[in-house]
Amino acid sequence: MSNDETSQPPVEKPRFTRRTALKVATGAVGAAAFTRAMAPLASFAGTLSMEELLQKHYKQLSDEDKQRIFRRLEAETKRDYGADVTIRDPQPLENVRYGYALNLSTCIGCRQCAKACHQENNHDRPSRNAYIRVFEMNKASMELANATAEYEHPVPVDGRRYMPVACHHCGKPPCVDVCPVKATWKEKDGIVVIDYNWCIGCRYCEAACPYHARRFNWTRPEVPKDEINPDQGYLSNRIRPQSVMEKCTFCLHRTREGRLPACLEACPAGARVFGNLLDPKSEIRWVIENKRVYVLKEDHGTEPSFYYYFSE
Amino acid sequence: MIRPKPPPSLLVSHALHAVALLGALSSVLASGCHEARAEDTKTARIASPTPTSSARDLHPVTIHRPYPSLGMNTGLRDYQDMPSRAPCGTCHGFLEPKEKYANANKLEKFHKGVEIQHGGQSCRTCHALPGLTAFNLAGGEKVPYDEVMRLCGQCHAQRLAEYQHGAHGGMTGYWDLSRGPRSRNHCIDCHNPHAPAVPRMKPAPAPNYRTFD
Amino acid sequence: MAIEAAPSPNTPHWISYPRFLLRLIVLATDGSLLFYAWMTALSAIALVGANAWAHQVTSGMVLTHMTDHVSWGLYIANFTFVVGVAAGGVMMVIPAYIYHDRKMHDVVIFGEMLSVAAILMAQLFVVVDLGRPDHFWHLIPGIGQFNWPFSMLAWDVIVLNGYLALNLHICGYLLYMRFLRREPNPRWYVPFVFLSIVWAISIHTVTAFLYSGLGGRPMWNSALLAPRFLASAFVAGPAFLIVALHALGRFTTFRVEERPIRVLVSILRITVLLNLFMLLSELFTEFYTGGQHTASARYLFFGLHGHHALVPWIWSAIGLNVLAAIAFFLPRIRQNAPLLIGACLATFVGIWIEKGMGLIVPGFIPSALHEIVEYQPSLVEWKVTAGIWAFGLLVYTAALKIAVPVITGTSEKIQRD
Repeated sequence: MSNDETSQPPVEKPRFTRRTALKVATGAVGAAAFTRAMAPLASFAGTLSMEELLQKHYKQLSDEDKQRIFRRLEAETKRDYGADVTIRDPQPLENVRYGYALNLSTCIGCRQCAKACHQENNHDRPSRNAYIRVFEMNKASMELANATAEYEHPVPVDGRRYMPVACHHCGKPPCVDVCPVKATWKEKDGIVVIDYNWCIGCRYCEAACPYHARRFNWTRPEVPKDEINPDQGYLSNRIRPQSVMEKCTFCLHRTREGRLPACLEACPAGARVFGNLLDPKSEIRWVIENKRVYVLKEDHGTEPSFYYYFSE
Repeated sequence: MIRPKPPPSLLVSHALHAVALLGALSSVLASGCHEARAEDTKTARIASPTPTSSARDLHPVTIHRPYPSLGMNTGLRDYQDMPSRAPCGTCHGFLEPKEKYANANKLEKFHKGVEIQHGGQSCRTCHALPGLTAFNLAGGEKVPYDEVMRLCGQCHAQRLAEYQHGAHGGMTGYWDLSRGPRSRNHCIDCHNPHAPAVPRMKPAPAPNYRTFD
Repeated sequence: MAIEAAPSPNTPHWISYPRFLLRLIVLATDGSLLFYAWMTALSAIALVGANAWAHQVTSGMVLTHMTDHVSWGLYIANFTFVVGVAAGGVMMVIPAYIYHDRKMHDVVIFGEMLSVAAILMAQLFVVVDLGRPDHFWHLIPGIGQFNWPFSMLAWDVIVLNGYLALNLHICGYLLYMRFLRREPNPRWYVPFVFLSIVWAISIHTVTAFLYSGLGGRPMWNSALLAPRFLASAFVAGPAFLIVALHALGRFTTFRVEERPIRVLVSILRITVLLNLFMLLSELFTEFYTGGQHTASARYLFFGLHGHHALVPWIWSAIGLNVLAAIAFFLPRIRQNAPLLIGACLATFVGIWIEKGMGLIVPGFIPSALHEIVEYQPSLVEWKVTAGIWAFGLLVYTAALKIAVPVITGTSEKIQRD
């Protein structure tokens, strides 16, 4: 393209040359190759319904929307896992703010809480995923770097202490701040929840959590039909879709109806205490007011709702 | 929401068993807790989910009675090949224990399997003469077998206080007693009173997360 | 090459603009056999990457080697790096427009096009890292739930798209004016150019803030992270541009003048030392203080509890950067093109390692609860990454293919500005 127009010969209109034909043909081949390369997506798209793709955020759903969505999810669970389940949506109780305490003098590290969590929350069986990780620590040290969650020997061992860790439902949760789509938020009874159908799977919340509390569904959860817990909550233990985040929900499908969480019921030692922090006569208040209590990583300013205490 | 009341009046007021049974206890392993709890969870679920209006209408907190019958395992088998148990009074109704066994912590005849590993104590520390139908408290007071928690609590007072405030001992049911009942373990559900140290158990397996070592 | 009739001043834009776009496509697809071979190879790699990604979406992210312990890996490492390249591409703008260096104008557009290609790559790296790309619309403000101003990812979405729009406008406007054989009106691009300088700094600052705001990750939770990012961006960008300019000189009719390359080398001399100085500062703070907050640094540089997968990576990166720094200061670097290209490539790779695998992955090791789970990318991750790099190079080559005829034809006009 010269800018000296006066000496230029008369311009010609472009012709449809052989080169252009080749370019168009190559372009078509390229487009076909691209479609072929992306073919696996078609089978994935087949598992999604239009309604699911367009589903609004939980906070924007009306009661009819919710019922329709729950019925659809129940039907999908039946289709994909062969089990009949009921999905409910218990609302936060009035004047309740949950607190949970764990007695480090009593915990024997048996992992029954993790096993109960695994079963209650319909976790993927092959990975033995659970929200709770139990650390075996030296009694003389609080440093997690010297602890292990991988022990398999009989417990408890003399001179060692056991500390289960799950989501602390922080007062100032870093995970809630960083989520780009507000898929996770803190409800007014203190539980930090996730709308699994809204999560985009960016895993920023998992990077932000200082307690390794959040889990990602790297694959579609595999749960045998007869092991599925059919008593499910929309925001808690329904079987999560692939590639979304999940975490401990303080068993809100149980606790919002006044029941104890599954991990507490499973603890043979009675090391766990759960209740309403706003009730001055609750067991959890007694523990906080009368026992030596601490929280993990207090210097982070996350203000956990999960407290550890000692008997002595 | 009320705290669980002290054991004796609670047991008396919510007696699940009409007859106060006497006898010794069999050793209970920690795994025995799980069978007990499954039953409790079932009953806990039947309770009404709607909150009751007044504080007086709180659902009960039941403390589990882990011993179906009190009796010493004689080591013999009955006609159904089950371990034969005899209540203390079967023999000690007319037989006084010999003085030479006053400080024993292990007996040979008819009391097989009982070896006391509980702070250097002997049988007589807790089991009261005559008749072995009750326990000795420290001040000389006698308590029936149903109120054994008071006996545990006189030494383990801090633990009992924690228990009474819901901070010790397994439980199932409701945190919110206005919505449903709660069922709690007894001390001896987990702690064999003769050898109360919790035995070691194999933990549930650790999670199988991916590593690429 | 057929030449179109010069558009008359009365042709409305809705006719001439599509013609302009068609012209761009024609220009971008015309070339020698070597050019076609290059573009075909890149397309093939891009298709392999696309296919690998399709499998990843269908079967789940389990096809990667990311885990709940190391939940970000090769994709975010590359994302971090290419955002830096996008920011660094604007380096040439500064001497051209702020210091009124006339000779720099010729090559400014190459830098801006590098930014466009790099931002497209950055966006692709984010998309392939998402577990649910079908939920992508949840990010759109108004339709979805955009968590601005609290989430730094929300800020990143805004600044990256804004930067892309800025650079597309600047390049597009200048090229369109050339196509119409009109003088570009400074009002329509100069303010945007100045804005792009500030915006380039912001894109990389926001990307650094993604990491440095997380209190649970002590390796990242440092005030120095954003300055380090900018310093390394202003090494990687100019280094790539020098290599690209030499490639242009080798494979096209475009002749690179000595002056722009000299300016870039001068910039590199400063920024490569600044980058090394910041690394030194980070090393001192970690290793002099010690303690558990420095466990990630110990893992990265020396290994921790028998785990040392990243140790060879980081020391190679430091070695490459130090060697490149020495090379840039040698007087004969100006005459010795292979030495210069070698040094640029060395520092480009060194920073890719240092900022990518050497920053993102060790931030997760040890985990928040001090567990060590190592990470090496899976084949699927390598394929997708290679596919996106190939796509980026495709875009950049096409962009250069368009820009070079424009510049060789009108360099005189620009100088008269």
